Amino acid sequence: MTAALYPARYSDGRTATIRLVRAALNDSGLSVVDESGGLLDAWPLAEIRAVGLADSDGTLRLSRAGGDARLTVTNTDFDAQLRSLCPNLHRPIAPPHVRWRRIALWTGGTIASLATFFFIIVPIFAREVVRLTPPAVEARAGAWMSDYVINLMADTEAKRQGKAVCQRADGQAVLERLVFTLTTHAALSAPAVVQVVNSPIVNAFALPGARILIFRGLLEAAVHPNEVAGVLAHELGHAELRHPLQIAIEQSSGAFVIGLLFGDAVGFSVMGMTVSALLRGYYSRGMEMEADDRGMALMRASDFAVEPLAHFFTRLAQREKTLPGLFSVLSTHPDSGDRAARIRAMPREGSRAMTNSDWLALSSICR
Amino acid sequence: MHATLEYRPSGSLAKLLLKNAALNLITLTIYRFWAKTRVRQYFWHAVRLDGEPLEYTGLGRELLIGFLIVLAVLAPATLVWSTAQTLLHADPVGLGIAQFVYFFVVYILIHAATFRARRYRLSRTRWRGIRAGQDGSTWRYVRLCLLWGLASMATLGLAYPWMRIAQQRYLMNNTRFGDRPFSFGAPARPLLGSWLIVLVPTLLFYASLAGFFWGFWSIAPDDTEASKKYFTEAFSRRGGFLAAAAVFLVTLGVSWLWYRLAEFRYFAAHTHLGGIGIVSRARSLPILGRVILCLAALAGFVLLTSILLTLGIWLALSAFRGGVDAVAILPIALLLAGLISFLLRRFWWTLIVTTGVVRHICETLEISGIEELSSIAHTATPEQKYGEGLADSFEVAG
Repeated sequence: MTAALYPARYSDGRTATIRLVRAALNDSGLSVVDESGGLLDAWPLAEIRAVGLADSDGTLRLSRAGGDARLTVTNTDFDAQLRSLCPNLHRPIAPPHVRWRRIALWTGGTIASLATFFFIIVPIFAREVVRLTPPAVEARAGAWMSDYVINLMADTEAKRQGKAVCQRADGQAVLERLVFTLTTHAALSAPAVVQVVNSPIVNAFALPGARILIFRGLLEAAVHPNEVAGVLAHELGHAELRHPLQIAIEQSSGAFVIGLLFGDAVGFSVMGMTVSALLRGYYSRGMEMEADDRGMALMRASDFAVEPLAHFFTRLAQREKTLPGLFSVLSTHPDSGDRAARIRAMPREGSRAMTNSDWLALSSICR
Repeated sequence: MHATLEYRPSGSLAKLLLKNAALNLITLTIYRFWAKTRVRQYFWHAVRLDGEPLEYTGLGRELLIGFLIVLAVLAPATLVWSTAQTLLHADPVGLGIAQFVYFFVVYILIHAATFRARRYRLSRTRWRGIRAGQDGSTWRYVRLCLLWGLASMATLGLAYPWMRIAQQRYLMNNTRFGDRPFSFGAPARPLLGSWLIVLVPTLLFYASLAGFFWGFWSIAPDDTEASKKYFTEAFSRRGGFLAAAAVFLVTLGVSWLWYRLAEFRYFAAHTHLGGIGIVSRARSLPILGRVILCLAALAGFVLLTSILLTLGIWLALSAFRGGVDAVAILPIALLLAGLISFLLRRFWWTLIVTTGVVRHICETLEISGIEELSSIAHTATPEQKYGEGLADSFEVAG
């Protein structure tokens, strides 16, 4: 059977010259002949590949797998023959077993190394940096941060009157005595600086350099002095373990590297922020439990009863709009109910943290 | 003998881009390497020289590997840098040094990325089976950019055209098609006129910005009354500072486009491939039209999506919760529509602007001496195995 000859354009891959040739396709392969009928090239069927995209009229450019020669035939009959005779027409040039398995391995490896990076390397790195950071540098960072937070969160009215930090002399004296008692048994790298911020927020936190901020709202929500002592002890636990600096390092590094990961699509930084939030939750819950343990140890060492704190957490659990199930992975603190239960499991001995008149003075520190 | 490039796309770009957007969403953008490859295949194939289209032979996995390699280096480096930033926050001198080091490193990396990305793309470009290529050393190029960048800063931007010429010369003289190298040589002075149209308003803007902040800092920090007064005056005077800034940004965009095209035409006219010459008659107006069309499409899209979302949310909430105020939903719908549009910006931009730019450049390019093309021969140089890891991290144009 004589195969039909179709006009075609051919370049041999050694130079950029295009020749007008004729191509024929049959069961034994593709042959390219020049004007005088001389054979220019012959390709086995199994090695014929399409190169690039098809034109709008369906024309394909052909090559012999891995070769530089190019053949173009514009004819629908030829196209039809091509598709029926050539099994590997659209197979990519590289051997197939390289593609998906290798990509799967690479992706798996990447996920494994990313997980190692975020969950193991970053915390270890942060802890080492904290260990090596001189207390003076940490103290400066902490001073800057606490000034920033105070300015951000204090009541506007209070700020205008210069009372962003509550400083009534008798209340301040009580606070300092309490801090002194608790820190006798703590191994702080710098003296603790505790300030009460004039804001209705019910919260307290520790910043680098043993700087602790307690919010007026928390003092107002407490009904027993040991509640305040317990919260303070918890924050001192953070300060003693130098958590605040560690958190700052972990979270900023994490955020940056996530930015790198999603590098190209800036819009997906929403995704990046979600992942950051999840990481933040993971990192901090562990530290909160450590601070709880340390705080309780400080309370018992100072012979303060811990049970009132359990009541405090139970009240908080009822007040706070608890995050629905799935969202609790975002929470930076363990569940308040759990914390209350852990405290109740501890020995109940201990005394009141301060006298009634002292408690009155402390509660009115912001007047 | 003259020839032009033809722009003849095949297949539906809109469908391709939508598929890319959807897959990017599902794979949290890991698909982007394959998406970019497909889009490049589309555009390369659409450009036809003397009847034969260009081929793009790059693979998605090459981009992926490039990305992973760079990530392995950049991740620890970023860790160290962000820690330094956290610790030094309170120390202005330390922080200043850290910032400076950061910008210096980023500057180097961006230019390295540009060089390597160009090399990768050229090595994956073929025409009639012959490969293009780029030689030269990354670090030579980076050093060139560094020195000229300093010169440009020192001259308040006046030296910029000279920097562009130096970059183009290095890049073009190291570019080849087959065994034939390109050649480029031109003085920079003729570009200066066009460049000043961009530079002078920019300098004026920065000067006024500096003046604004100078005035602000000379007010005592505690004097909130005076500060407020200063701001309100600045913003309300003569249409306000904000309005002026907006007008300026638009003008800057247009004049920048105009300069880049003038530069492109100038570069083309002085680039040769052996005896083959190029002349471009590209103008900025058609491209500007495309950009405006794209912005209009985006705006229309945001509007349409907001309306659809408002309706949808209202219907859903009404079914589950009883009557809901439609007006209250509007801000949320608008925000969601904005987010979706932002995620799809690449779709609109590629569909409207990139196609317009490529078509216009092709149709206004004249190539002379094209018969010489036939004599160009193949070279067998080893090509880099993967690519563009840096370019991906620094969002160098893909």
